[in-house]
Amino acid sequence: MKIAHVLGHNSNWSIETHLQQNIGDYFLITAFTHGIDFDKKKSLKSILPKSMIDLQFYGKKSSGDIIAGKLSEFPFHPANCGDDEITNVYFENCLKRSIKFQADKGFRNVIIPHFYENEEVKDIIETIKKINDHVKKTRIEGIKYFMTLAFANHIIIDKIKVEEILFACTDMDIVFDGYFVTCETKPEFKRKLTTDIKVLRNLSKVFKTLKQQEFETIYAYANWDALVILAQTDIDYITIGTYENLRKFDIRRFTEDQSGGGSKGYYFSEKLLNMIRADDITIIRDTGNLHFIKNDRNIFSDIILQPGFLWNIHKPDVNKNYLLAIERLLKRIGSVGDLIYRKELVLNLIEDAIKRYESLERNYIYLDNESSNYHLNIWRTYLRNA
Amino acid sequence: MTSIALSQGLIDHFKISEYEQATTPSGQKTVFIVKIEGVKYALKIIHIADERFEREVKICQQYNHITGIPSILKVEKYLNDTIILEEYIEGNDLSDILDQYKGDHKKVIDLIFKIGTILKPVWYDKYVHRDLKPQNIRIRANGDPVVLDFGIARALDEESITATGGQPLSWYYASPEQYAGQKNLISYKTDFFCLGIVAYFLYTNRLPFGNTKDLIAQTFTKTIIHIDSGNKYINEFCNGVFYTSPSDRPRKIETFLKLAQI
Repeated sequence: MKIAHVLGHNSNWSIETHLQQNIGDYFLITAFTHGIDFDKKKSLKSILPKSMIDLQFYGKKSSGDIIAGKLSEFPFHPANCGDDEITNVYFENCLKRSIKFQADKGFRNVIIPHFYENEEVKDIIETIKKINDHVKKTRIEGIKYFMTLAFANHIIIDKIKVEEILFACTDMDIVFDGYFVTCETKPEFKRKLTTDIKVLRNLSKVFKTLKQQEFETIYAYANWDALVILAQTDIDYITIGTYENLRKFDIRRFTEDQSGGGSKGYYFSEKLLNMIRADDITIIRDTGNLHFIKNDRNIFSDIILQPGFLWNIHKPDVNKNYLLAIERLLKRIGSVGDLIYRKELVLNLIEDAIKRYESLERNYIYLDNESSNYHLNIWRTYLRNA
Repeated sequence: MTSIALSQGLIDHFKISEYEQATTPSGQKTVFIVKIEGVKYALKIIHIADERFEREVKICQQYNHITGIPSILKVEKYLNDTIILEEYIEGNDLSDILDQYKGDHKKVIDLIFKIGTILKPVWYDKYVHRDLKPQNIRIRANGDPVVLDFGIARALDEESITATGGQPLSWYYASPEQYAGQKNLISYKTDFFCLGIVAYFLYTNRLPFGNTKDLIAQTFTKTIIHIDSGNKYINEFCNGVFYTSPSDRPRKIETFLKLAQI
């Protein structure tokens, strides 16, 4: 298993952690942030041989209107689609040109973009089949082709639709080497992760089936609930990201302008398997309970947990704490080869986190909203029954 | 069995010297075993030559060179019927000699491998038999199987011939997707599953998921179906194909055939 940094806004922080702390093995460059001249950027040059690029076709034409995004810089990107060009042939050409673009740029892992289809599953399948035929005829030795599967929320919660897609993806005619999977999880208000067991169940099924059928898998824009998926199956690449928009696939990022907003940020605790609001840290520290949440052997955690640290989401150490902590967790889990033992390990981590929440409550620390334990019981229930 | 006689005109036309009726006449077809110039043939009188019939003929003619699929020698219009003259397979219906396979895992697995090998080019060409069961498998005197009745076979690249939602099936040997009426999930993997049922049935002479539609339907609600036939080789094969989701079954025909090897 490889950990891949998603390179978006302030991607130098991710690269720094790789170069200085050896965090991550690989990189996923986002076209939205880096644009057509990504390979001319000094900061990216050194890591290009260990990189892949997501050209992010998800929003199609709507992506062209986003002020902050650079998707229109790619001449073959559907963001540039004119009103008179909205045809299947046009979109197929965009896909074919995107494959050639990546091969010409020297990428060994080519991510074939796909659109976020909010309507018919048959449209998704039709595109997969057409591009598969194209790859069959044009494949270049030494390149691995990964087809994107961008699961909209209404699809991932529907077992039958998921099976229809998997059915097409696992046909004997498929020549892709693997799949680049991303999923719209749609967490509830004041939550960072989904608690919809249908999402966990069906997304796990996607990864388990693709791996069973010997495809390589990339879990893109994964949040830390990737731990639950990894508990049940091997995944070849899991991405980790600093900002939330790099850890949560949301189609609105590609269809409308969004302000990042300001926030004091969150502390990711390996022990609680959760993000704790910066404001909650003060009371935890003041009551002598910091040891329940503190990440061990983590220099970034040591810095940001110091009294007087001025919390801000745009400080590198806040984000680097997450990168180091989540990489450690994923690598620890992924290193257990036997899936029965691996699941037990994750269940033990979950049980331990639940006990820590209980200990905090016994000490009169009641965390709410995102900081609370809103997800661990669901994880535990799901994994015990999986 | 209701018996009917061949008309003298038809006997003369095809130069039939002897005949016996092989099946009860149905609205669609009646089958006779006939002797022409000293050679036995299966003579099928098709009363309603619909799309399904045409498909069966097309598939059999396409694979005339495969010894495990009956050769069609002649298709001819005679009065209001269509007549098919087909290779007669000497031997027994598998359903009549089940006891020869009971408890013999090697014989069962070997047979499944041979059936898979016969169907390999058919699957590659995107046809699915969809009705694999002992009654549709004939065993030659040397033990080699012949796969019969491509009447409900489906070409995946063509429009389906059955009405929306409904599918023809022999429900004892049907896959979960056939049971659920999910026509869009029918593929060569459907045949893999059905051959798992055949293998289990041959080895134990019992059906793996029960004898009633309710019991079978209940089993098919589970994600993973795990059976125990009492034999590890049969278990390995069956559990390798008994996945409710077609996407979890072997993706490649070679993988399936490898499962059917000891």
